[in-house]
Amino acid sequence: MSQGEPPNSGWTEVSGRTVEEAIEAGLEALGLSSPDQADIEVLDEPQRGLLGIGSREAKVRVRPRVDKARAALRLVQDVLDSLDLSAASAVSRDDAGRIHIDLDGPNLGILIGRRGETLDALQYLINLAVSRLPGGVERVVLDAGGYRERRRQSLLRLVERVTETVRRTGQEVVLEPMTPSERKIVHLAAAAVPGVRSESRGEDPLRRVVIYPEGESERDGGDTE
Amino acid sequence: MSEELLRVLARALVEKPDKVVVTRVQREGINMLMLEVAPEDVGRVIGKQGRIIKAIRKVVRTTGGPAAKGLIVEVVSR
Repeated sequence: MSQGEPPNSGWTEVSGRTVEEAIEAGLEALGLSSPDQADIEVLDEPQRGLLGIGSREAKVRVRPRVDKARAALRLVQDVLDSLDLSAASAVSRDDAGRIHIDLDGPNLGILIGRRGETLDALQYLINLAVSRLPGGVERVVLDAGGYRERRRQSLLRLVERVTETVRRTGQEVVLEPMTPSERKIVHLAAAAVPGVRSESRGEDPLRRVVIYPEGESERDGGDTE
Repeated sequence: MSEELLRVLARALVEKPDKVVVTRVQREGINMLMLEVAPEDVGRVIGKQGRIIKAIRKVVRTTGGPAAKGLIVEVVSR
């Protein structure tokens, strides 16, 4: 349970005759065997100097690389433990480089919550925690029992049905309130359908997507013909 | 269970996890968790416009069963 190292710390500076030697010394100081296990920055290139005057050693700084996927998984595991939940977890990366943590097990419903709000809140907190660890930006997508994919599919079916109705009747349709991540799925899907437009209306947690026939909006509310 | 969850979440967000203390206060129908963090970590658990503490409250209240329904979660520092 050594999570929560302060960000931007943990650097060790080392010098050497060459950059390679400095890195090697740094890795040795950290007890690491391969450069893949460390973040490495070159601070000074070595300079030869003339007759020993103005010569400079190479200087680098190194720190152990934090495996953010592992850190995220450990946090998720701690959360599950604190709730006496047990779940199988699968960690993967998608094409966009995002870390996916998929949980499967009994009683994960409480982790999802109404309309996935608990899952979204937990995912937000995990992303915050991971972003505070040293290293580059990584996004984490948390799912439980395949909830996100199931919900996505049902939203896509909903958009298909509703856009069809809007096109047929020329009337706007106001959808049920949705979370920001759900609204994003709906807007993207609606944007791919010709003849309709979508906008969000109201304030969270009651913000809803409205699907309009093209050329019409909440403001003008009128016919274009 | 809610206490431990709150402790886990808070420790992951702050720079000084050792300073995180969670205390349950229960009297006269008040059911509250006090989250104590180092002064410089207060912003890290509250967030702009309270966005972080809102997410923490959401997770703590919805996962703690009936006992956590009206649970109050407040941040203190000393």
